[in-house]
Amino acid sequence: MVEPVGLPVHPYDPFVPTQNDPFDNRWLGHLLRRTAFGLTAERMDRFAGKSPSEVLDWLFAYDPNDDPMNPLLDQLEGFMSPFTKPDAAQQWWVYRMLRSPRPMQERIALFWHNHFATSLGKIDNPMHMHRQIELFRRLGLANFRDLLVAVGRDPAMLIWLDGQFNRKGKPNENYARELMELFSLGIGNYSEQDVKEVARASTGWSIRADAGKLDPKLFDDGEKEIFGNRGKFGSDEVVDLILARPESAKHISRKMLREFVHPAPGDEVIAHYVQRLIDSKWEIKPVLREMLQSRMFFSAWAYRSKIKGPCELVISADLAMSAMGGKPSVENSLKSMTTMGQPIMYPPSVKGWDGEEAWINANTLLMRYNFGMAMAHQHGKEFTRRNDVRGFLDQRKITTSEQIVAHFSAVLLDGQITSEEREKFIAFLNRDAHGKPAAFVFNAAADTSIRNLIHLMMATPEYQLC
Amino acid sequence: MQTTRRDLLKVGLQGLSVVSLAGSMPAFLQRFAFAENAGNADVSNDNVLVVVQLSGGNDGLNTVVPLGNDAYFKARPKIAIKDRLLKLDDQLALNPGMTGFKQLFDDGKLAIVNGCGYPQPNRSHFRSMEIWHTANPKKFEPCGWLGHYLDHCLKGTNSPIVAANIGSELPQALVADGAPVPSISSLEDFRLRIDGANPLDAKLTDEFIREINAARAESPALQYLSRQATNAIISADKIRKLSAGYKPDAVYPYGGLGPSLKLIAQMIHANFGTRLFYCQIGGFDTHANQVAGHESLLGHVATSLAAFMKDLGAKGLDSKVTAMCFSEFGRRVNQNDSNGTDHGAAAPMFVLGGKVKAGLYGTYPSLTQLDDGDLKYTVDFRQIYATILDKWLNADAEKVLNGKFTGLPLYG
Repeated sequence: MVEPVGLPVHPYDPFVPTQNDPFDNRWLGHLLRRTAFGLTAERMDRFAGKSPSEVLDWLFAYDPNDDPMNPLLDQLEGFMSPFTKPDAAQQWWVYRMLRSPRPMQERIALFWHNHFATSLGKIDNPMHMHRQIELFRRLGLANFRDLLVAVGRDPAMLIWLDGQFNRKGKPNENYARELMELFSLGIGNYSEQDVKEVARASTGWSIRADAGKLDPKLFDDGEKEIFGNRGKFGSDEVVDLILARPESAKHISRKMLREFVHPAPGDEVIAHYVQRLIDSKWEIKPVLREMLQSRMFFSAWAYRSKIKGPCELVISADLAMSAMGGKPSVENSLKSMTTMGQPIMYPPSVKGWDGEEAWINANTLLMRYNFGMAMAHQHGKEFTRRNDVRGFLDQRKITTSEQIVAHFSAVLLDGQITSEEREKFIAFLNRDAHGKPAAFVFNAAADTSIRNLIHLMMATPEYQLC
Repeated sequence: MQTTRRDLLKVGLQGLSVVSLAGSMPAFLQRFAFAENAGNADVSNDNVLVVVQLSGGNDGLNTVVPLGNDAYFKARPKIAIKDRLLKLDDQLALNPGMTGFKQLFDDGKLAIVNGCGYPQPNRSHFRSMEIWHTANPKKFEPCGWLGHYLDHCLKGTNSPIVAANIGSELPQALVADGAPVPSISSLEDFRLRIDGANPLDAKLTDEFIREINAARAESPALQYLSRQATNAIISADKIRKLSAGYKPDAVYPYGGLGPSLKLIAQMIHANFGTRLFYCQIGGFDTHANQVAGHESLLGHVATSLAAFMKDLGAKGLDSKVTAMCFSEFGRRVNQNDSNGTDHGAAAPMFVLGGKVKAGLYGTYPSLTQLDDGDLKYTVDFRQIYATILDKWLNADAEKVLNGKFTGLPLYG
């Protein structure tokens, strides 16, 4: 077995492509898998010859308050309003992931959705869940303090962790505990007494006209002692007290690194970005961009070090396959990620999905491979319009078995296959109707074999990696 | 919560330097999947254990109600249960929703163990759940207690699926050093699908998938994934052959535990040699307005397990099965002001089966002598584990649990 490879030297410096280590399809695929649901033929064309900076500009340059998709969605019945059914809210989000011209906005929202994991299972009104995801889309790359303050008064969160019942003289500790255990400090970095006091300081919020409102009559304005500080603290001061603790920056640095860079980043790397979070006064965007532009990110250490979550897997396969003219079904995309273990907006608990190896077991792996078959062949409901693989390849003048294998291995596996594997894939196409080796003929009968080739590439261990 | 299963599994993902699809590999599969299990299993019976996890922290006081206890009614002015209680004796009664359990109790098949917990209870859902899964309240362990049992006692068992999780995410209790335990949500979907448009193509594709997923060693991640895939493909092949011919002899509830327990009954009936099953149901984190919802949830659990025992009984299999219900903690004695309860400590466990000696076990905790507002445990939950391991699974409990725990006479 190959020994684990450590961090590159000067890990936090920006990656500068060289002749020996160019910004090629491998690194483009790596960056887009972590931030934008992966490669497509169109994205390979668009970013050919571009620098990492240029791709990152494309990923990050959007105004979260100005959403070009809203007018379009407004016209689509069943999406924008009125969210009477839970799956309408889920589908609204899947639709955005599939169609948004700014995938980073959805990807960062998915990160915060798993961090502040809230489930429709307890939220009667899907509109509240929709608003929470909108909050993550709006503040996902903004300032973490603003985000944490906003989450504390978010209607879905007030319902999910019973903040709406947390009142003066009648404290409910649910939100206070998870705020510290999961959302900021991490377990063990506060006392049971802190839980009680933070609960008191967070009293008084309820939902009025679909928004969190503080009712001074229900707020406990007495003195509290939190982490040894005394004062008549309220929920905003609680956030400041929490963020002043170094454990918070450590917890968030670790979570961002695990999500976007490496599942086990190590103390040294975490500590570097703790300092960056503190220096930037909790601005997410510059710190995340630094992570994604670093030598550490573009290293063998980080490459394929994570396992795709079901949502990432489904959306990226949808995007890659729709390049060939197909139209993925929003409903079935949602169903697929659900059977693989990630029903978005229904995390298993406030801890969110564990991710990584926990995504993988016998059942979910079979679901993943079977999903690959459905994506490749498109006989079922996964696509509302079946793609035209041969038409697409023909147009691009990709007609030999070598070219076909090169194309799909580039889109689906960054072209990172060994020559031996390449030979096997080519041999899979180079055969006659009896299975005997023969020259490949790009005719109608080849359609099934090409689709099986796509299925094969999606049913590899490598394709599960992110 | 900082630790995740990811930290625990010995297969880390770091250090992928080789990018490679498939090395050369012979035909491979049967050999690989079970090779590591070569050896003799230490098994002298074929008893089955079904673990039912009640996630969220079940309110034990409103599950097994201390009906004559004034302190209970004082602590819970709005949520104490007074009517329709299902009396177990003069002191205790089951929640009115649990008619299924009352029947099993009267039929001599249900043991109720009061006051289960562990020293220095943790009130975090996740840490406390880990403690129950690993049977170690002191420090974090990578493998679960059932995983230890698999590693110590069932290695080499000649079964395609020696343990199975019903659901999508593998519980830590079943994480073992050896072959990964499969998670199954339905038998219908548990198979590798190949497009059938061209039979020759289908055959070659099927073979190719098995080949590219056979033992891979280029990196820990590929090793982990290929092991899981190979195990899945082989398990699915075998299950499909064995599972035909089951018809339920009871009406299982729709949804929740119903389909899970029905699938377990089907697998026990098929006799794959599966010794451990795991399933779970959530919703027990009752911080607010809990009375009606909690009753219906407990009712669902009791009805589902009663149907399960009835189905097995009709097939003559109930004496081969023990089911055990637990939750990560109970709840505070005092209700909160949202007519719910916050995270607490000790709570009852349930053990049921054809060979279980019905009755009330353990001392019901005092409602006045509290530990920071919580019930003090009177039975260490590991005593139940030890009892089941020793008396039911015929295993060396001390070895599996890495400590000695006094058993209870649950099996006479």
